[in-house]
Parts: sequence; C-alpha cells; structure tokens
Amino acid sequence: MHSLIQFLARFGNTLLFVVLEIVALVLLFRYNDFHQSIALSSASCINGKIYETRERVTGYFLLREKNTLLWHQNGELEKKVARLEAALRQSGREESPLRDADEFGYIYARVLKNSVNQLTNSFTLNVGRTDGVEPGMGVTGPQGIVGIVSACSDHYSVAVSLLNVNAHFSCKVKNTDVVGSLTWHGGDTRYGWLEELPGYQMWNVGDTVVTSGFSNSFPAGLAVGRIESFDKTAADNFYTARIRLFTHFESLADVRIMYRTHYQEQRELEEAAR
Amino acid sequence: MNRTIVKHIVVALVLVLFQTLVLQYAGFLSFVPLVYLYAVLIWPIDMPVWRALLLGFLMGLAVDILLDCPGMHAAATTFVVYLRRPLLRTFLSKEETEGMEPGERSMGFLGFWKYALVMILCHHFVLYLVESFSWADPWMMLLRTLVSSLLTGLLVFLFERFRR
Repeated sequence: MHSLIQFLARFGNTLLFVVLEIVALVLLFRYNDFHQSIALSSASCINGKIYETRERVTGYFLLREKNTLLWHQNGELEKKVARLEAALRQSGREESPLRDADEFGYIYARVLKNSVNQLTNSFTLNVGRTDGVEPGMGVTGPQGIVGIVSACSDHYSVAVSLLNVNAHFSCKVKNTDVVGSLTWHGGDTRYGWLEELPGYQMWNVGDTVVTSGFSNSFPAGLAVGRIESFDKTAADNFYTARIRLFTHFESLADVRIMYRTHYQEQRELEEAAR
Repeated sequence: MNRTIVKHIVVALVLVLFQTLVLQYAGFLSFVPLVYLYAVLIWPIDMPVWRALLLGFLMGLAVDILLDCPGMHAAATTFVVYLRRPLLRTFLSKEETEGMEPGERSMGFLGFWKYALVMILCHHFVLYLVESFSWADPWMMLLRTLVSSLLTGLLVFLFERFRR
C-alpha cells in the first residue's frame, strides 16, 4: 500500500497524462461512434443553441429571408421540371433522364455552423429528428450536393461535408455509365477527386460530374462539379480526375435535405422481413 | 487560490468560444490561428500538474465537441500541458515566485517567447499530425503547422500588448 502511494506520488501525473491521451486517441479513432453519440457533437442541445445564436447574429436578416424564400421557390420549380420530364419520358419522347419526380422530397434547412479548414469537415443544420431528418439522408445546396446527414438530435443534425477525407460519394460522368468515387484530399476547398475511373476515352476533361443514384442518399443526376484534369495511378489501370466543385463551401447557408418519400414504407418492409 | 482557478476557467471558456465561433471562420484555406492555447500559456507556474492536465484536456475536448472533430484538440493540448513544466524550468531566467503567471513582464521578452513559441509549435504539430493520421501529406502538414503557428503567435503577441 505504501509503495503504491509512493508510486502514485512519483508517477501520478505521467499516468494521468497517458490516460488522457489514450482517451483522446480512442475518441479520434472512433470518429463515427463520436458522431453517433449526439451529446458529444454539435447536434447536442447546448451546442446547437450556441451555434443557433451565432448564426442569428451573423446572418444578414432581410437578405436571408428573401434568400430562403427564393430557395424554396426554386426547389418547387425543380420538382415541377422533374415531373414534366417524367411525363415527357412516359409519353415516349426521350428526355435526358433526370430523377423520378416524386421519389424524393425536401426538408429545408439552414446551416448553423460549417467548417472547411479541417480534414474531416462537417456542418450543423437547424432541423432534427422532429422535422423528419434521419442519418443517411443527402444534403444539397443551390449548386449541387454538399454532404450526408450523419447524426440527429431532436432539433439539430450534423452532416458530413463533401470536404471530408473519409467520405466517399458515388458519382458518374453525365450522359455516360462511367462511375467513380468522389472524395476530398484536404487543402483546397474548390476541388474534389473522382477516383477509380476506367479508361479515359470514355470521358473528357470538361465533362460534368453528377450523382450516380446508387446510394439511398441521392437520386441520380444531381450536379457535383466538372472534370478539370486527370492522373493515372501507377499501380493499377484506374484514373483519378480532379473535379472543380460547383458548390462554394465557405458560403454554405441554405440547404435541402433529401428524403425518399417511400422511405418509411421501405423501412417498415425491411423490418418486417427481418 | 480559488479566485485564480475561477479566473483561469473563465479565460479558458472565453477563449474556447472565441476560437470556435469567430476565429475558426477567420482562417484561410486550412490555416487557422489556434488561440485558445493562450489560456494554457498563462496558467500560474505552480499550478498542480494534475489540475493543469485535466483542465487542458477538458478545454481541448470542448473545442473538439464544438468543431465536431473528436480527440484532436484534446490530445494536442494535453500533450503541451505535460511539456509545460519542464519547458518553463528551462526558459525561466529569474527566480520562480509563488503564483507567478508566465508573460513577457514576468519572464522577460525573450524568455516568454522562447517558451511560447516552443509550446505553440509543439501543439500545432501534434494537432496536425494527429489529424492527418489517416491521410499522409507530410509537407502540407508541416506547412500548416508553420503558418498556423505564425498566426497564433501574432495573436498571442497582440494579447500580451493588452495584458494589464
């Protein structure tokens, strides 16, 4: 007993240091679990309030209201366009395939907090579970997709940004079947990387990149960016293209969360089948 | 003693909020001044190490939680808090007095800045090293460490001008 006390008196601080570092590193390597535990993220009640207050101070009030209104109208119009295109297609006149009109709906949200200068960026939104938001839903901005919801509390949610070195988004080159995986390599917020592209004869510099529709988060055909240049990986036969992203992530303000209108039904079915 | 600890907790809180609500948006590209470290720099020299470690860890964790990046700031801050005592002992030219708070006035311009710069560089280096574990670009990491340290140093310099 005596020697234990002596040991603690001598090495107690070092021991505490080591324990704290281990706790920090465990948190770091369980990044996703961290996001699941709402209390430790910016979706938590206190955090959400802090950022909401901040956003209220920084947002330009009148501009913002007008902007949000326009944003809603724009969304309705886009839906209408999609519906028209679906009608066109059904009547036999082939139209560049976009999304199925009513498969996806929108939840409008404002960005309370947004980071762009880390490697694993994320942003916080002012809507949560009570508004119908669920982890896994896609988030789009005025110029294209911006991220995927990763955690929700009752009134707030956190989304993983496109600018996240750990996130991958399934994308394709517009008007082709060339599918790749979009990710970010850190640093410049204007560029993403489309990885695992097959031979380059099938696509060109300047082509537009859109979502592939292979995930539950996004319908096919949402804008992402434009191919600016490409590299061939030495190890294998795949190409990596540098993509100029359409969205300006620094000024992210109004976004829409996309939900599948039959999501509930699908989930109930999946539950029942289990 | 109790009043000093309350004062330092308040300073830490204010700096954490300033960091996460204001400064985080003032950086350019991925260079950001991490000025919450200033709170650690000016803790009294004789603050018990265990208390400093806990306070530093909690402060880093608060920044992590507010920025949605688990563990990084906590790891880096705990690390430099552990370095603090030996560093202070090395750079302190004058006699150590009870309750002395490191600063240009108490340690002399050179003494304080040697201590502050080593602390800042170590903190930023550990932070960016830990952040990029899953992703290797050592030159970018070093550049971020240097530029961000410079920005932090500038702000610490400003704070020192306005100190009492």
